[in-house]
Amino acid sequence: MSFISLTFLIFLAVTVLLYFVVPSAHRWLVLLAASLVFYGWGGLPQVVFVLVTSLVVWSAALRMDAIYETASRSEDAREAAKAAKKKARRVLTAACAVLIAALVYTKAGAAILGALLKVVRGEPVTVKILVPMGISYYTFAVVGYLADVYWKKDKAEKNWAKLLLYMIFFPQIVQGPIPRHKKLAPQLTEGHPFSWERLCFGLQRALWGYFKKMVIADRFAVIVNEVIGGYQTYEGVLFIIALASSAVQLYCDFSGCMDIALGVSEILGITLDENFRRPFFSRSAAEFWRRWHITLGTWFKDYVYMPLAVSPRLMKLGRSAGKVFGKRFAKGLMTAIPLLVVWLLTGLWHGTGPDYVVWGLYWGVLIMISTIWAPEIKKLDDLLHIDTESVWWHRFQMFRTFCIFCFGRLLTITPDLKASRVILKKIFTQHNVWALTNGTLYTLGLDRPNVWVALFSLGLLWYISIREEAGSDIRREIADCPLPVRWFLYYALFFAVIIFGMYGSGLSGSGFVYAAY
Amino acid sequence: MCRQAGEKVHIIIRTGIFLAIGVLLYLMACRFLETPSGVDWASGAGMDDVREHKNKYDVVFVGTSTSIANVSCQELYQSLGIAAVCVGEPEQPVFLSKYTLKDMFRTQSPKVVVLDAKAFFYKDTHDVAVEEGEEDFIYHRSIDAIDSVSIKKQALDTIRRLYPERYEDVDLWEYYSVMYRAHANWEILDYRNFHGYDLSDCMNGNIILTDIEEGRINSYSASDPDAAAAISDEIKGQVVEIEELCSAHGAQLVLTTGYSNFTKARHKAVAKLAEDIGVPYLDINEVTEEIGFDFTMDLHATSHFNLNGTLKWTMYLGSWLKDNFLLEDRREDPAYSWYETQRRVYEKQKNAFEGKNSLLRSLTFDDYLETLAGLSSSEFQIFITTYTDHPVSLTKSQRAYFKELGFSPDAITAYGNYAAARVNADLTEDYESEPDVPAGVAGSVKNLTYAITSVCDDDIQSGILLNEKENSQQGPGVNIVVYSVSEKETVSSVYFDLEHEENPCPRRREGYSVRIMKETAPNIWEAEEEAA
Repeated sequence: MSFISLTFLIFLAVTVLLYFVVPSAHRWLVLLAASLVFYGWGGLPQVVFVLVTSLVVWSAALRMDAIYETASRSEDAREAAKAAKKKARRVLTAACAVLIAALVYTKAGAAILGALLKVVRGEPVTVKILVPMGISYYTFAVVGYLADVYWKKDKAEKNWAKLLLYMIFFPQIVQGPIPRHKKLAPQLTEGHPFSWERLCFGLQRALWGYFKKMVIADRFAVIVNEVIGGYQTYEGVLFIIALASSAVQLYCDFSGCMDIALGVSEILGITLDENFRRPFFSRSAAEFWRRWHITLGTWFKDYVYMPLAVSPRLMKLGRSAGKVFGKRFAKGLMTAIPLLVVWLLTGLWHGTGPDYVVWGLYWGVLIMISTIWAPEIKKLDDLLHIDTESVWWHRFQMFRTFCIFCFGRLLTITPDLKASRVILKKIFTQHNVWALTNGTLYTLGLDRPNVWVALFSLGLLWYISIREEAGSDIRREIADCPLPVRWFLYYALFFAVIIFGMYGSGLSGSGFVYAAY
Repeated sequence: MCRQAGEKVHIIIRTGIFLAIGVLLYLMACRFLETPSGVDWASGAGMDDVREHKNKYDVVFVGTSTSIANVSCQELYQSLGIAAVCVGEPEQPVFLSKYTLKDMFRTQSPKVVVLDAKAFFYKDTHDVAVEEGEEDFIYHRSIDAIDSVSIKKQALDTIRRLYPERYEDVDLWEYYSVMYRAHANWEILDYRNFHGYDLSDCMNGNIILTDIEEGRINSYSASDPDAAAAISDEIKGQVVEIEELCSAHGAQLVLTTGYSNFTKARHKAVAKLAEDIGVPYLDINEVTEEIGFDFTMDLHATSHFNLNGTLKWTMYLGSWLKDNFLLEDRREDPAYSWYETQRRVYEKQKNAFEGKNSLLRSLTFDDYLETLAGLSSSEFQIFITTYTDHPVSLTKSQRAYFKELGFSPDAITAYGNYAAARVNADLTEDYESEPDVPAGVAGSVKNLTYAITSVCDDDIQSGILLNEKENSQQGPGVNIVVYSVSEKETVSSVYFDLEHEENPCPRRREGYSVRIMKETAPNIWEAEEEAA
């Protein structure tokens, strides 16, 4: 069931109605039932898959809890704690191995099996494997949960159904945000009272999400598909337009879905974590990933980077390296290794092909350079008398970060790396700037009216982003407006979505991009 | 607590008003978006009539655009008293004809259903000539016209079955919600979205075509009579289902071939099918001589007839229907008053077309002026410009016709540059004696702006601009453009080079000829040879 469907809107209306009609103690059951219906809409096999997964997680967490409980009652607490930690680590490792194996199997299994069968049979073989909806997201959610239980940051959930709800809560299962059990679980089971303000704010946010996805993202997607899909025939500056459009498309698609998810949750009284914070205002690659897909970044930081960075093995390696190559080198090495591991895994999380590996390492290297060589970069700025606090320098940095992001997109939106190379070459060798003014822009899949709608909508998004970056709470400001103004804005946004949205015959809106991960 | 309750009531009332206004705005938006503009044809007009005039029609036409354009239900009523409607759609495949009829039978009990056989030779889902991606539009036209959601769903299920790769995920909401299917029309809004369609666009589900284009001789004689033509089993099955549907509702199915680019082999295939299922079959290609069909004047394009051809086929078909079925004469029945309401518009259309026809047939300047003088001044606007370096000379009869038309023959013969407009019987003239000093007339009326220039100069040419578009032929001598008010188009654009005995002025479009067509691939026709 897609968020962009009338079926979902009806489903949501029924769910919200039932949620607030049922007594508060049982409201979480309504959420569970709704989440199971939502999940099961894509087919029963994936429901079975997620049920089995949840049982594995549930029993592993309970087992770890039991191990710690037993150890805490032991006479020799210190020794018992040490032994318990070892035992719990084994349980954690086993459970995570199963979960990660399932994830790898569903994401890469088809390609691996296909390659193996090709070797055996001597001809290409297409292998189809069930890929449960949201497996990348809920796997990370439960691995994080298990890790928190292992580190005793969280208690094991004794009620399997409540754990299942945490895993497949319907607004977030499609594209995240990746939740933390300790923060989300209590909200899911609390049974929130109806709030008029939350309903209004939630609907506004969801509507804004639909606007970003259906009016902006799907419109720019037409240009991207046209130019990148026909990259052999297009030239120079048109690829720049396509890459910029791709950046806008991806941002509006993903953040639009997040707005829908967070808006829907807000109606139900549940606050999900923010996943975007105006990433194109970032002034560096590192800052970008603190603003883009925030929950993925923090997950990798908490569950991969930090454990790696403080791991005894790495520290030992650092000490050895320091003795041979000096302190600076050792420090750099201890930053670089976990960074590159994180970014390699980030790339693999997005996709299993070589293009995603390159993409992950691309970001990893950039962030590594900016982190390790920060002092040298500062010296260069001083040497060139750059006022790093000036507004123009900040704008340049934002533009630079945007270009870095677009280049990164080039690695993953093309059919393969070879196509990316061809496009890159064309950008630098074919100078057809006149294509910007001779009407070519209206031949890239969008006619003149649609180009203007796209640009106007983007302008509106940009304006609102600037206001929010400056600290404004747009929804609060709208709420403070006189009633006719408020209503006019609500109607305008609603009709903008349903009239200018890219849906329906001949205009099928694409599915959400990040739902494919 | 009272205050809280009061606030709650206040919120509920405010929300109710908000939703009510929202629903109103939504319905208005649907209303304005739903009528697609930029399309020559008001889809679903026939089905709208079917739903409005319940159990009134005795004959229902269905099929492709040949059923829409090649038959006139208004003429059937006016001339023969037959109450008929057309529920066909352009490119309508047979299976969609079936579902259209199913929906039609919910509110009508006709005695006869006439199905045109053109779509029998389509691929199962659509004409082979249709480009990929256009079939959406074709299906939409028919499915949008169907009212019943369950019948829409059946139609969709059939599309999915026949064309699974493309339509696996078609959303039923698309065919149920007006906004869902029509929202993209914001790009092509024009006045028709706000004022609705003119009656002339879609009377009784028909459209009147008024171009007179290249002729296409009946190719029965040209094609191999023994060549095979196959109707697919799928389509045969659909025709059988249509017959059963008609029988179940007490209607007789009649098959027709109401268009001209057919082959003998196809005729045989349809005749065989008709015989197998026990229904009558009429083919215009077998009676073209009998009905006096003129391939030089009666065709609009490809297989469509203009009003000339439509009237001939309609009268033939209508007479046959009257002779073979007990069809009541509805002309005196007040329950059929909408036909009378439509009569005035229809007669205007006929007059406009007849004017065009007669002008096309007028080959000399005298004939042309005589015809022009006989046309209604309120219906036809006349624009004249000269393109010559000296005054033209007129014969006595030509001067008389000019006078009758209201123009000044003295002016046109005294001055080299002469521009004139007769709009709504008001005459405006301008003239200049110096060749390089332009004479000009300009003005505007409802839906029409005009600017006429007469000059003989290296840089400027004489011309007749209507709505900023050049409409004259810019030929030497006298250039005349005739504009039809009801059709909102130019019906004649000619010039007469009075200097030369041989008048080269073309009466028809350049390259006009009559051609024999041969089917070189399924439903693809190419000219075989030129004919006089």
